[in-house]
Amino acid sequence: MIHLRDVSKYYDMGPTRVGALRDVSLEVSRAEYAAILGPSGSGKSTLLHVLGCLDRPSAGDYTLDGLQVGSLDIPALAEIRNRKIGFVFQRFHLMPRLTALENVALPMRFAGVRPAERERRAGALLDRVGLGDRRGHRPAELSGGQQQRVAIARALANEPPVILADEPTGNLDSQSGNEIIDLLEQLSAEGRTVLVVTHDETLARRARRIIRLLDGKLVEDSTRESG
Amino acid sequence: MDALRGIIDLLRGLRQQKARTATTLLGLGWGTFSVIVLLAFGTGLEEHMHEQAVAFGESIALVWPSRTTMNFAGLGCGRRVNIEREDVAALAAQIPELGRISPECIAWDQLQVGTKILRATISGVAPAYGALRTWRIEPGGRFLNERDIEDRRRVIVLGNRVRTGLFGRDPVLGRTVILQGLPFTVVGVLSPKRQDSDYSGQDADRICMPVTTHEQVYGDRLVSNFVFRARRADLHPRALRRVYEVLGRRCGFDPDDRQALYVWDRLEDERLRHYAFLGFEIMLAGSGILTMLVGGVGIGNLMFIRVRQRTHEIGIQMALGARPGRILRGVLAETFVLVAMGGLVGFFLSWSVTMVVRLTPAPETIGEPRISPAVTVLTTLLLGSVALLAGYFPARRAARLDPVRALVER
Repeated sequence: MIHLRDVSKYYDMGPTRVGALRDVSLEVSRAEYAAILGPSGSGKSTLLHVLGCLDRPSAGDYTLDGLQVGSLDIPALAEIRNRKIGFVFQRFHLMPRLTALENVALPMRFAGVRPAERERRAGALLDRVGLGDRRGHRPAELSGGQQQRVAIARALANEPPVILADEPTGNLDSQSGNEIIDLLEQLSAEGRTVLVVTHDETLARRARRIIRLLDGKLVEDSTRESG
Repeated sequence: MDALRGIIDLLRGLRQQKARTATTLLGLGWGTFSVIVLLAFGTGLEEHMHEQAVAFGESIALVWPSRTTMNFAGLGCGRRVNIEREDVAALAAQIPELGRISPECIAWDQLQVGTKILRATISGVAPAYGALRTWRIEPGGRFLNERDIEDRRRVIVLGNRVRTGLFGRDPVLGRTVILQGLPFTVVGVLSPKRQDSDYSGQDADRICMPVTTHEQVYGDRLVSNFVFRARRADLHPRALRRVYEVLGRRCGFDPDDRQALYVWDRLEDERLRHYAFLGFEIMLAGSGILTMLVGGVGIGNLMFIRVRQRTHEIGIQMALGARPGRILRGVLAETFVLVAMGGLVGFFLSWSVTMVVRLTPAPETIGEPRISPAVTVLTTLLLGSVALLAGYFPARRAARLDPVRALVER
């Protein structure tokens, strides 16, 4: 599903060039559930942005679902984000003036789904994350855990094969965090590739694969036996 | 539904910029108001003047004999040119470019009905004169016809003020008027008209009779002047040149002697008036457009602020797969809404002003200000252009945002 070969990402800070990712090579198969770990500044978020087509690598090859991402233009990258990737962010990043239902329907709007169909599907997704009775609520009227569940429902809107989560439990209490982890596990069990950037050891322990970064380099890539 | 929500969202967002939004919209409204009102008044005035010009005679030329200023065929200059009725007939026969032509013999005389006596201009003319000088006749009556000319009938058509002076409000068709001791029958009365110019008095104070009858009554050998219109406006200059050639030959003057005839060229007047108004309207619209552009700059600034306020949301939309084109269109749509709001204020204000002016006596002199479809279309196009210009750069900035940076913006 995901192939990274010698991917680097540099940022020019005035006269100096800072390497956020250095020659990272990685293969992630369909339905894998992997945690990306590392201290702050190790390049976890940069890796997630590259994987999520929010940013393009400075060097190396990235292939997602058979597509060479590095050669795609900006609209094509937007299309991939819309169809193939579902994002879950630490700060939820819900649109504050839209209801839960409208937030979930937003990616479908960008995909050109008709309004009635959007509403039906967004309602079903909210039911699935246990927020069927909150569809008319705005983010400010929901708890952190509920907001993150809305964000997960939104990430599933266009049924993408890949879910990328950046510290999805970072702003939640432990109970809400556990609910989110359960949801992510379910998604993986359904056949979606789930990559989670986290500091949360509980979340990391439940992942089947650990990818560890340090100073932009891949320093550990281990798979734990299931069970 | 999405559009309505978008507008509400926009208005909520702008609440943080109340003063700036209000002054910007007011500026744009004022620009719109200026363009519409100035053009509406310009249109009204032009139509008013055109109406008056048409009432005098549309696309006509009036020609008076004058004095020669060039030697011709052994004859010296300074001679008086004399034009006879047959010369005018020769013009009609020999100049194919001519549409209509009528001689005019003028006398000033007393008219009598019972004990009432009135002095008026008495014009002896051909039937074509009615169409050339826009003599619209009141219902029931008629202008002169060919039989009147051939039979030298003693029939007259009265100017509307002559009619009132002689008959008051009484029915007048078929009544008799005494002129030079002879009875004349009234066959028509001029409908009141507002003419912008005149010669030998206004048409309201004039009566027309067959040129042949006039000749008989007053013993005219020469015509005072003649009036003509070319078949088409583009043939007018050629027709006028041919008038000089034919008359020069018949009346003995050099066709290049422009002073031999005095020509009042109304078509040329109309052309000059048209260009004068065009310049006037361009100047008025120009000043309005400048005000609109200043308003547009304000709108552009507002939209830059708005894009900045919404950077985070734009980042979310990009992360969820919104294409740059969609982001661009979204900002442009908001700009169009803002411009439409300012434009509507301007439209409403200008409509109110034209309505109020219509209730005053001002239209008598300056015409009725009119927001014509052309003015509406022009203003809408201008507003659309202002919106496009004002919205494009903020929209482009929004569409080019880096999604990663936009997401962390607060």
